[in-house]
Amino acid sequence: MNFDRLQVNPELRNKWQAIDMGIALARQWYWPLLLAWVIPVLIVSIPFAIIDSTFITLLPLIIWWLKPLFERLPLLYLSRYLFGEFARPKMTLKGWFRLYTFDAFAALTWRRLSVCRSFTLAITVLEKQKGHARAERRRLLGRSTNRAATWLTITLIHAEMFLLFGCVSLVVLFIPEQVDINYDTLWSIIENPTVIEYVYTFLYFISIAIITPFYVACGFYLYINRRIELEAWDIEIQFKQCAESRLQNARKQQNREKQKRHLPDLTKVRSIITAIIPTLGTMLIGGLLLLPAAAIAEEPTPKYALLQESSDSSTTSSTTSRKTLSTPDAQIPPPEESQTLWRSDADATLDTKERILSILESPPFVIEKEVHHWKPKTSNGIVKTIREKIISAILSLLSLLGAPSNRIDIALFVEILLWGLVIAIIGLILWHFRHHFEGLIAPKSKSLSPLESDIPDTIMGMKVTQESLPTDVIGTIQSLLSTNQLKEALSLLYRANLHDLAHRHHVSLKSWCTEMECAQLAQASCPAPIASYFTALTHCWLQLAYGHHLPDKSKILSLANDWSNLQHSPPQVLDHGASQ
Amino acid sequence: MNDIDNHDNKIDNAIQNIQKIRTNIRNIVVGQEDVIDQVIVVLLCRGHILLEGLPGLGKTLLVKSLATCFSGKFKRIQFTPDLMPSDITGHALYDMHSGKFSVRKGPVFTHLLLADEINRSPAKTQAALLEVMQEQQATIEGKPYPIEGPFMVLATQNPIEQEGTYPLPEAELDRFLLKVFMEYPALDDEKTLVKNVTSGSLAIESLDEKVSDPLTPEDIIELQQLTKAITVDDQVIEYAVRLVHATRHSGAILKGAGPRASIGIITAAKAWALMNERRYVLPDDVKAMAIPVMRHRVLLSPDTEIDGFTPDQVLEQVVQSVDAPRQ
Repeated sequence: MNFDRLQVNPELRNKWQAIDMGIALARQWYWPLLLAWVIPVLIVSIPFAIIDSTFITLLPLIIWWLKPLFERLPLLYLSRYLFGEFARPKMTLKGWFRLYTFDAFAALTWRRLSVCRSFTLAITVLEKQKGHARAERRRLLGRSTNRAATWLTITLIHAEMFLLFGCVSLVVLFIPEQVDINYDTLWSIIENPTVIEYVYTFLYFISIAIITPFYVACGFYLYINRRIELEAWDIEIQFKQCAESRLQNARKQQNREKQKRHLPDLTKVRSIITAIIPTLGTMLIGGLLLLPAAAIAEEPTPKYALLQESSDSSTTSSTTSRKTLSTPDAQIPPPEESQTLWRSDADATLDTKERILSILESPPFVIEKEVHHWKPKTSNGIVKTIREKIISAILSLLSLLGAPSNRIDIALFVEILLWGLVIAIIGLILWHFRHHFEGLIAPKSKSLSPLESDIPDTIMGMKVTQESLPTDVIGTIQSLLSTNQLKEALSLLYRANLHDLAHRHHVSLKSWCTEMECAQLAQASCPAPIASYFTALTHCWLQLAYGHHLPDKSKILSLANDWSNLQHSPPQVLDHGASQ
Repeated sequence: MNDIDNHDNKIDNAIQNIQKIRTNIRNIVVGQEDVIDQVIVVLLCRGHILLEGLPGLGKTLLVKSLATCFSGKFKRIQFTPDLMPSDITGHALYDMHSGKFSVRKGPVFTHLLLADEINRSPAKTQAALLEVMQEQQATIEGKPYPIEGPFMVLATQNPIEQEGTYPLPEAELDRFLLKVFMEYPALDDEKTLVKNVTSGSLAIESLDEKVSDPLTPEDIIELQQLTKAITVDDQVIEYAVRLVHATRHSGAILKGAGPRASIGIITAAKAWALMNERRYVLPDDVKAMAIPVMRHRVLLSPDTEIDGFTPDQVLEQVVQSVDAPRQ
């Protein structure tokens, strides 16, 4: 990897920032990524659509199923773009074949529904890992990124769906009102492909194509971000930059020193030239004037020139010039000077250390953030977060229980607590919906008879409980008849019969049932003799109750005796099939 | 004692007459037994009936055969958007020979009036029927003209093609004793119907031949009087009132039925009891009549309508929520 050509600043970002970064990458290289997805899809789809039009129904499913393969090429392109390789990758036919077939079976079968596909795709395509190695690598990389990758998939699935519905709605909106669409028969289109099928497939293709570059780029940058975190790319790059900077500084220093070393020679040449020219001039003038003092005049002129020259230069260089001039072996520093240089090297080391420290204390190694939040005032000024409070509460609870307070025990304790909570919730749910399970658990014979609690105490305004009836019903009826209380006697007989129907024959009487409805229920649920007897009694009772027509005393007595006989006869098993 | 026996004889006679009408109509109109019974109930109660059903289910045949059964007059008005009130009730016409205005009575002066597709006319025309239905008289040029009994309006509505119709106002709906749905006949009934019509044994022009021993309008009036005399226990009346009250307190109903519904249920229950050869009304009669009487008198809440419930379904639940009467 050539970090120098990396197109992004490899800072360590959180997961959501990484996804944002992926969006930015997709926008940057959207069209190449889109084409890298569209072209293979078209290559696969067009033959399907042309060869057999019935495949058009299955085409959206095929495209959806092969998505993990179609996303490989955009990912490959994106990985190259990110590291500054913008030339089209030259791949052999074998290379293309390998790109799409590497670990394809797993990708299309048991890993097809993986919600972290965008994130793990790079492990397969770029790292060429498969099997156990891939699993290990995936476990390492996905430790803190799976959640974000899952949410990315969920979000973009929804985005795809919204886009598809939007496109379909748009098409539907453009259909003129005069065109009558029978939505009930739309399903029949599956068996008989029409233009609508092609339109739908096209819209599905469009909606996926729009979203896929974003999906691939976001997943890829999540992967890159995780690698930055694990492999400290940012630190490595910072060190490289430091080293580069040091190297450049050193080069500059060397150049400067080289310049300094070359400077005395030039001075010497210049001083020689400046010394020769006046000498030659003097000799020429002295020779011309035949003056004997020519030898005396040689010394001051170069000295002056040198001083003149040195006065123009800097103090350091004049000193050096002077040293150079005075000492022919100027390359070897005197003892005092070598000590000074050693000190300057130590200072430089210290300076470097300070610089490293200052770099480490500045971004990106230190990210300073200004965070504002409210904290409650406490008496001792120590503010505990809720998490700290929970942990301290658990610790104190553990200490009370006498358990050792190491981390493993706390985790175990919390796990037991959580499992207890889950079991309690399941228990509560089962308890809440227990009536729904009664039908499944209870034997069928029981479900035929109504529960005691379902039998109403009052039917048609008449009490039909055991307590409301006398112990000797027949005796009471006879005594009522003897006092000519015919209505009361018949009412009691009717109530006793209703009680029998509800409790003995398990007829499901309701409070809103009328007399005739009760008779119909008895016909349906009771043996024939009882049903016919109850029908006769009901007619008698209706004549009295609503027709205000008193029956004969003898008839009531006869009905009472019949009921008594039915009471003492052995219970008969109802043949439901026959009764119905 | 003789009065009681006389009354019982009259009741027995009435029951026979009702059975005669029922049999005669059933011989003509095949496969609409429930509708026939409910039309007879309304006739016995001196009420009016709203029939809802698709065209071609035999509404005209039903009314015509009913009229034939008691030798009554029958008129039919096809309601259209341009129908005027005077087209229904009648109007005064200037006679140039006598130099006087003479009254030309409208089609409402009949025994049975079939108001076909009543909701196709605007409210003004529909309102012209209100006076006729309620007071059994029509006012022409400011002068009321009574309509001789028995008089019954059978209005029909088409459940489809609602575009361009005028829904009946609540006040007018309340005037109809029952609202009855006419459904398609069953397979066997339709076979018989097709056979009768195509063989020429059933023609609307020759219905008189199909009716044996027809009654007279006076017989119908007597039946109506006898229906009033059917015994109703106070508990049964209370039950009917409680049913109507329950519709006013149901969360699924925005506007419950009014007191006319209570009156209508008891009146219809009396007729139903008589038709079932009883001299007293049972709670079952009330139950049987409760839904046809109330289904057009309640207004469902919007959420109930959105949930797809019909008034019949809601009323069934309401009826089941009311306890049967106490005795």
